[in-house]
Amino acid sequence: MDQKMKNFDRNIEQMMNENEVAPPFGMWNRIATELETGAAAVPVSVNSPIPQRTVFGFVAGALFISASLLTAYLVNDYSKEEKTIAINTSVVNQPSVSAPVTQEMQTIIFRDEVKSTARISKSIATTLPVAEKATEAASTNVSANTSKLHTEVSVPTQAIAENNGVTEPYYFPAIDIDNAKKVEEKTTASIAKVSKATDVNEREVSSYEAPKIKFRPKKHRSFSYGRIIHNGKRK
Amino acid sequence: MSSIVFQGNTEEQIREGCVKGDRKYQQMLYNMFSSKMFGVCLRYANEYNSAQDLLQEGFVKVFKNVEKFRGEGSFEGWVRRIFVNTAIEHYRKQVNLYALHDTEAKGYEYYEGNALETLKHQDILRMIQKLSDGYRTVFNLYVIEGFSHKEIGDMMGISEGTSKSQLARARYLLQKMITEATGFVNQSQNA
Repeated sequence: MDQKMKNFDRNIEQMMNENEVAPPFGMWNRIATELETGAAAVPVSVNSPIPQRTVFGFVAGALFISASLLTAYLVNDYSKEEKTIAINTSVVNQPSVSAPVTQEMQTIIFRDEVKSTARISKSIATTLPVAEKATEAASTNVSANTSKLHTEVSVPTQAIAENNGVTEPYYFPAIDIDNAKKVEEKTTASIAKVSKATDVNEREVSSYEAPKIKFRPKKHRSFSYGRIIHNGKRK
Repeated sequence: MSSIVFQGNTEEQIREGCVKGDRKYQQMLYNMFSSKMFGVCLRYANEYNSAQDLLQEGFVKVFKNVEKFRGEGSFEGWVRRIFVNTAIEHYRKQVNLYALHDTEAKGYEYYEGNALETLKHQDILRMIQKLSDGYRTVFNLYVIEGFSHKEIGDMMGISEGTSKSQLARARYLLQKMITEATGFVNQSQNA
């Protein structure tokens, strides 16, 4: 069986090797043309150490990785934007520590100075965790405010007196020395009244319809703090 | 070592001229080997036009790499190896080889050599070309080029067993075609 098989193979081998087949006419011209044009890129591609499939694979992988990184960056950026906006809205809506301050700051515009300072001091006092510190701070603030009030009352009078004293005769009203004490007592009393009436003022604040401020997140990618909407209208 | 003289030039002179890129010497080299190499290409190709493409591709490779020939073995053998490799690379992408079961590879009847004597070279060549790409390539590499199954497996990226089974199947189909062409019946079957 094996011998028959070998004979068969040998016969075919002899037949194939003994015979030569002349190539068609013009074959050399084709080869010469290819050599001249330098289009023989086949040996280069065959001898190149990296096959084309691998190169394509690398390129495709690089594109995929870059696309995924870009997507991740964009998603991260968008989530950051949403996070900041959420913090802003929490400041506005939640009646927590910082909320009264913002509300008070708004009311400063609409109320007189004395009430607002008293209210601020009150709010600070309420935000302090220790009651004693709060009271101390309140008292120091009140005293500071009283001195401030005193100067506010006296300084314009002096200025007017200095300015007008040269050109025009100015009547200085009779100032009692004890009057300063009385003024101070009055101011302290008024501040005490104000501090007593803080609850009332707060009720006023709460009842006062302050302009509602909302922050709406922007949908597009560029970073911003959002738009301020004042009573439903954009500013 | 006797040098082959072709058109008044030795093989070394032709080779050196090809290394320099001289078109005259390149044409001499082509004239030296074109008939033999076209026979090789015809065996590996499934049609005449494909064999022409293989011949062109092979000669371009030879001219581009002729300086790499180190003088080990014959120059004709080196050129032939380039053509065989070109043919393998050409058909490697298309060939989808698979291992056959042993039962399919066994039981083939091999006919006596006199059946082939009645056929011409062209007839056998046409039969070989009728084989599928995988069968034809393995048959050529094993029977005519003399490679082992391991070498064929390494060259074509297949296992040794696949090479064996493909060769057995190629032999079987070739003998079947010879029988159909000659009407030669196995003697053992008649007996």
